[in-house]
Amino acid sequence: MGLVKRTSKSGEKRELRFRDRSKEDLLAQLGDAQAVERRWAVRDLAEYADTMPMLCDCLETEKDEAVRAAILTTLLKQRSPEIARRLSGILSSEDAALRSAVMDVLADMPEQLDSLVEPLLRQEDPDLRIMVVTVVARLALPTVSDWLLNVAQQDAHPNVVAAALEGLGECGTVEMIANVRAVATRFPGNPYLAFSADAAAGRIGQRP
Amino acid sequence: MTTSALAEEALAVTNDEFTWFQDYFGRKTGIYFEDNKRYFVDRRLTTRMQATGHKSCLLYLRFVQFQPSQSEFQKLVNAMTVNETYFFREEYQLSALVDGVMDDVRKRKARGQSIRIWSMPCSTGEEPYSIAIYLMEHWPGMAEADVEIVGSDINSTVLDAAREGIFTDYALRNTPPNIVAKYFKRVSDTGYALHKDITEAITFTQVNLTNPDETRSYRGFDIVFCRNLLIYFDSTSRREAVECLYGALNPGGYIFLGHSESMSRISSLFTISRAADALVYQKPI
Repeated sequence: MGLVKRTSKSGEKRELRFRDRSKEDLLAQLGDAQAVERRWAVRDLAEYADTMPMLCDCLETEKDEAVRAAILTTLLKQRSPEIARRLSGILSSEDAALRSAVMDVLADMPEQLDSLVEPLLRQEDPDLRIMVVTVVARLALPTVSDWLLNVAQQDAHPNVVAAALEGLGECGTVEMIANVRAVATRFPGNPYLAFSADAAAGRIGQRP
Repeated sequence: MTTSALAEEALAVTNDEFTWFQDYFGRKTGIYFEDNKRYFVDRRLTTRMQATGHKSCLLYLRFVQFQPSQSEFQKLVNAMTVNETYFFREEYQLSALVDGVMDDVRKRKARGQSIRIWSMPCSTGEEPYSIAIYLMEHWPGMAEADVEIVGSDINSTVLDAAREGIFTDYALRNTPPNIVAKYFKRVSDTGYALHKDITEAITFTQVNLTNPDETRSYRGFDIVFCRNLLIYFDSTSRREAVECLYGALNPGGYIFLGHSESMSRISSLFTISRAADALVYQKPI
């Protein structure tokens, strides 16, 4: 008893693959009953860029959180405007955990999401617009503060505007302070938005 | 201008070269150097340029990229990833290991099954050796259980040092004198050799945590120490690394991160719990 050492040179279990790892078989394994098998199939499919649409399809129906995480990591690694488009479509899912996970990944795809932001901000559903604003606020792009100010000045829904103001508090510029404060005048009698606009302007002003 | 100043200017790294290096090195290793590390990176690049006889950074970077053996890339990795560590660093986590985590893992083990611990990155060995010594000193279960410890790192030079097991008194600055006396032998004015029984009991392997081909065989661990590594990764590499750690752990297995790191910002796959004074992350059973 005590410290023991494996006898193999690498110290690791020799890799034993009991399943075929060809692309076709890996795709078939995405439907395996065992989550662990699906997860390994997803990880091994990462080297086949042409299978990303199938992984996007799987993500919409996959219920296991670890398999979802593996899919999202693979999609993030293979990032493309098409993947960003497919993921942004999942923001309307009824599954809150999936939406949240997708938002995290989209926030890490600034260049791929860039051209999609404006159409996404024009969607009819205000809940979707709020999610897009939340993602936009996290993007590492120089246009983020302009997008958010535009939403704050144009969007008709107070909750979307409030989300944009919150983002502006993080990334707005000093030149925007007067415009940020003026957003409150779009919603007279709405004390929450008056407070949000004031708080955002204050936070911008406090930044060095 | 002096000759050495001229030479230094000739070996300068341009902004474009630095940007290319950031991206290339980040994609290959997961380690992304921010702009504020420019001085650190430039110094190591110019050292490697001098060592390989390259007069321009651009030519050196092309050499690194296209050298068939990739041995210079490994040397560059070694130069960029030397991390200072010491024995019994963040000891409260070792205390948590023996005060709850090991017993919990052991409950799920069948008779004869060893408990497997992975120290990644292990640098020059201080962490896996600290774990081994701490278990022998403070975990009663050691008398009845088998424990296997694997230390891994991307840096081949530090792994050679780890296998050798010679440490300076600086590495032992947090080690109680009775432990030094019991496990180490002075071999020079400032050098101490760890007892062979310990160095020969730990396995050291080279692995890039963000390379799925390299990490695929790392499975079946019960406890992972992955401290102060993820903070150097960009967000994509962090996710890839966590995917690897998740796959490496048995259900119910634990991860210890550095005190400034948080798994909840990277992944929701683990549950967080408290063991003694430490926060640990557990893969659901």
